Amino acid sequence: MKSVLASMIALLVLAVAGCASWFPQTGVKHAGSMVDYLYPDAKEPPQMKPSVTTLRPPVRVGIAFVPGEGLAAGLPEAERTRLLERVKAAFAKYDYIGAIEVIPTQYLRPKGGFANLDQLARMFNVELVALVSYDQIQFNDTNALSFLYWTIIGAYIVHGDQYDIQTMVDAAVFDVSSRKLLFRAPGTSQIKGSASMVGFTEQARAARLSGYNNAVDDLIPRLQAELQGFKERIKNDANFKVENKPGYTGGGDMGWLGMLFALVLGGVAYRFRRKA
Amino acid sequence: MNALRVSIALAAVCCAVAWVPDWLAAGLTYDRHALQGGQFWRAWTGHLVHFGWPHALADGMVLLVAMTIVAHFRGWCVTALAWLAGAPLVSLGLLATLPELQVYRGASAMATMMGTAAACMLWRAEPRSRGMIALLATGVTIKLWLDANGAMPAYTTLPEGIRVVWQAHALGAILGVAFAGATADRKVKGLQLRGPETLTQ
Repeated sequence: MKSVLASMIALLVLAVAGCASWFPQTGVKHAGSMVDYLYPDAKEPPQMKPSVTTLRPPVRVGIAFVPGEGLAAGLPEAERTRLLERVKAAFAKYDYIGAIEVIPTQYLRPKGGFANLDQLARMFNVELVALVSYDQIQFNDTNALSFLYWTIIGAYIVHGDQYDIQTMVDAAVFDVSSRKLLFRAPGTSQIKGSASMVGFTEQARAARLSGYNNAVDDLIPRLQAELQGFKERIKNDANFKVENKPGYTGGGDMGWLGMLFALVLGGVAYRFRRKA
Repeated sequence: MNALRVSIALAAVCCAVAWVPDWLAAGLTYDRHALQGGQFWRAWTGHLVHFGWPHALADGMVLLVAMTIVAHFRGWCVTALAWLAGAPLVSLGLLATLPELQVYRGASAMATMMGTAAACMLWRAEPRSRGMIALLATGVTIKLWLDANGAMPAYTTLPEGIRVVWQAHALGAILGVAFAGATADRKVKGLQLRGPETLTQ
């Protein structure tokens, strides 16, 4: 009888101990690499021929997440679209951006390279493409409270598991025809939190999504600043040329310099009127 | 009528129209398709509406100075008629030479026309002013070249994304020379002939 009781206790201890071993202690990594997408299997650095890139505002821009590979692809498509729509809304106010097309990831082939980018540009009728690459790492740890998981009920109410999620998104804008990188900007975020063992997966998933949202929040102003810098840069860069496109808006502008000329002209007239 | 008052009135209209509601400004703007569709008033009113008050202020000020000088030489009636004739000519010129230009606003073409005419009249009436006028002409030519090359330096008053239509300025300058030449033998040959009070009349 004693041996049966001892066996049952041992079995119970093993079963309870098993609870702790169910939880995966490893982290989670999601990544979509720009280099893997644009330069697959590249053994030599890409050769860029010096050429003049012509921009014809209002430009049509496509925006897409770089495809990840397999289970590491990360975000669901609906969330990706929501994030890209936010980026699109932040850039809709600029007159020199004619239209922004959100391109679903399904249209991008993993390791598709510039050949795939050319197809997208034709399909969506865009001249520039903003590719968003991402890298998210989730570190999982347990804290001192996790020993209460042994009480079983503790696994439901005690926040004995911690997560640390670090996210980076990077938007790079390419001119499709010249294959030139025009400008880029990163966005980062870090989210830390804790959860009970039972609710950990759900909370960590929500935190991963928040990580992407925060990184995009960080990205948008940086991308706007880069766009501003790019606009200034191309004025003095012989490698870029800005041409008018049908349907553009123009203004007759004398500018402050014109006002100065007028004042000088007025001064000349006044001077000789006085002498007359 | 007082020449200065006419100039002030026209410049003030340019500035005032900068504050009209968007729907009204849109109805007055030079719009290629609307013009071709028969909304002929846009050929005139496009030169009164602007893209914001800095744009209107700069154009209005130049127009004020240039028209005052022209009105002094030719009288307010001829000056007003020149404006009324020049505005649609510039619009027609833009229609003919810039098919890609959809929308245009600004009094600068008319200001350039009046400014060029004023410079020509001063050149003819007062030989001592020629050095200064030649300098000014060089400055205007450089500005035109900068605008044509999209150099858009800090002096622009246009909002972001709207380009300077330098061709309108070139058309205005040509019309200004033509106007000054066509009315050259119309009586007044120099400032002194109208007396010192005329500029402020």
